[in-house]
Amino acid sequence: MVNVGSEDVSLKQLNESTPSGIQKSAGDAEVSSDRWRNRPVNKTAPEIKAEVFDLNFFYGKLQALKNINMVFPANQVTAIIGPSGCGKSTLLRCFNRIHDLYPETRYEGKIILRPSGTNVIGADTDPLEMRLRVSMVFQKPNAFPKSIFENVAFGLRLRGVKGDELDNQVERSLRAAAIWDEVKDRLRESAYNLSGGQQQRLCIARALATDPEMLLFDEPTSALDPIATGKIEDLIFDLKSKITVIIVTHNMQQAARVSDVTAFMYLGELIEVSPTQKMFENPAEKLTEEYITGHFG
Amino acid sequence: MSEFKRIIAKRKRQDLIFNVVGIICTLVGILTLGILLVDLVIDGLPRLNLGFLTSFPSRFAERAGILSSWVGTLLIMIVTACTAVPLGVAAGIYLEEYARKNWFTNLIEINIANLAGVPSIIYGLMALGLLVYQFRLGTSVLTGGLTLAFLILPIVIVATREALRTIPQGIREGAYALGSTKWQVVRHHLLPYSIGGTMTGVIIALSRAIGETAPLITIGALTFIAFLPPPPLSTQPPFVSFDWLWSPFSVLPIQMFNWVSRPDQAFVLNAAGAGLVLIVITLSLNAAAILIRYRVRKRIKW
Repeated sequence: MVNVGSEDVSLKQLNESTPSGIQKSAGDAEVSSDRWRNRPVNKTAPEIKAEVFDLNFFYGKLQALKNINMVFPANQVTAIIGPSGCGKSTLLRCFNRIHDLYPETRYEGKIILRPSGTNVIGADTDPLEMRLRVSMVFQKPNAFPKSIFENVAFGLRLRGVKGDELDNQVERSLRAAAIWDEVKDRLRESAYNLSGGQQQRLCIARALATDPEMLLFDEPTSALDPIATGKIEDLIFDLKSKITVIIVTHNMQQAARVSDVTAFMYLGELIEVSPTQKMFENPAEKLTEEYITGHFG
Repeated sequence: MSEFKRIIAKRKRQDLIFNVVGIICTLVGILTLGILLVDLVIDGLPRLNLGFLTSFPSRFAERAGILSSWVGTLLIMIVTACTAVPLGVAAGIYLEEYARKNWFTNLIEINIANLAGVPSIIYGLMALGLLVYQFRLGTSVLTGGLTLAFLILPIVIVATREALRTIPQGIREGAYALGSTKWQVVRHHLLPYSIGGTMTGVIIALSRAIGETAPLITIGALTFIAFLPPPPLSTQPPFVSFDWLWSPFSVLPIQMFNWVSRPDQAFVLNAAGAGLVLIVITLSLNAAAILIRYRVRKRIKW
């Protein structure tokens, strides 16, 4: 077991403190949630990548998110767990404004990205800009019915990348998504010839290709078998050295395996945010404990 | 036990009865079509030769051919396809991807479905009033093509929308999530992924339009025409000419109609020959549609 230092403050408490206080005291880096794997311990204090202030979200008249306040540490994996319909995917999908595709959706509050200070859901923030800066991997692998190369290249082409630079970035992304060796000889083949797990890693490569600030995963392994799931989890774990990750999952073991911080949501409210190990061993809230021990959900 | 056997035997008998009834019903349709086709082939095949395809209509049945009518059919179809496809596909994309869902778009939707059921002669009347008299386009290839374009427009719109609807929402979200604008999603994803379904619908619609007679007669298409429209290409500058659009025309079904209504039996054989050509064109179009659908399904399966 890894010690939780006495000066450590839970993120729940951090969320209640002022943003400036967070930077100084967010010393949860030593906490490791991982019972299955040895992970390198990050000694430096995590920076904040995103701060959510008083976030409310509505589908028409239905309020799906209620007064969410939390921070997302940079270069860490934050897992969001909770029963079906608790709003975890809704929260995730605020970060790239994908809700804007649908009529009668409405945001209130602020989501501030650091260090730029952009308010993701600000009225004058272009959803297109947020989607260029924040990438997303979906529940069901949604590779395009194009070649493997074109799948990864698409986002780059939207940004005007061409020629050798395009080839290099596609290769780099496929390597980063740990699928290069499997596809390097068949880049011109249809992505639909790949297995489900390979397609999902291709989608991760596609999301990584454009050097996003954050990577969102919406239950990325729920359509995959255990072996493919393991590969994706390894990948998510490795990615955090380069990028801030938020993952929504209904699988608590998965949250425990891949995340540094876990948030528990219930009925549109944020119940608890804690370092993952603390969350699963000694949750602060009764409701969290009941959910984790399987009393409901 | 014997009770069970009795019940089972009874139910199997019912099964058998429906089986037989079903086969008979199926055969009624297929046999009728088959006999019709055989009859047409017996009557028409002897008339089918190069001369029949390259001759103008004539007072003498043996010298009469379908040159002007098949050229007319071809030109009309070109005009129809060139107008109905862009209009219909654009309208379908707008309604499916851009338009907000409210009472107004619902109204448009219902009306498009209704338009597909309007009798074709009504389109002919509309074209006569609007295109021939109002816009003074005359009884030309252009008028004929536009008339049939109106006729198949609803079919093309519906086919486009159906094809777009088969694309999973996850694909759209994936494309938007990379930062695409709506037009980029349409241009790089939805159009290429739906082209198979759309083309299939377009071809089926064209094969319906090719056999239409009533609206073209209404606008005053000729039944006897012994010259071809001016060629679209020429050796003198500007090399391309659109004069053919203003030329009078006839089409295959009208030519058939004309021949069938003559008392001389020899002309009826000519009509059978023209009918055979028409059926071959229609069936080839349908075969092309099936081929496209098959190839696209092999490439894209959601």
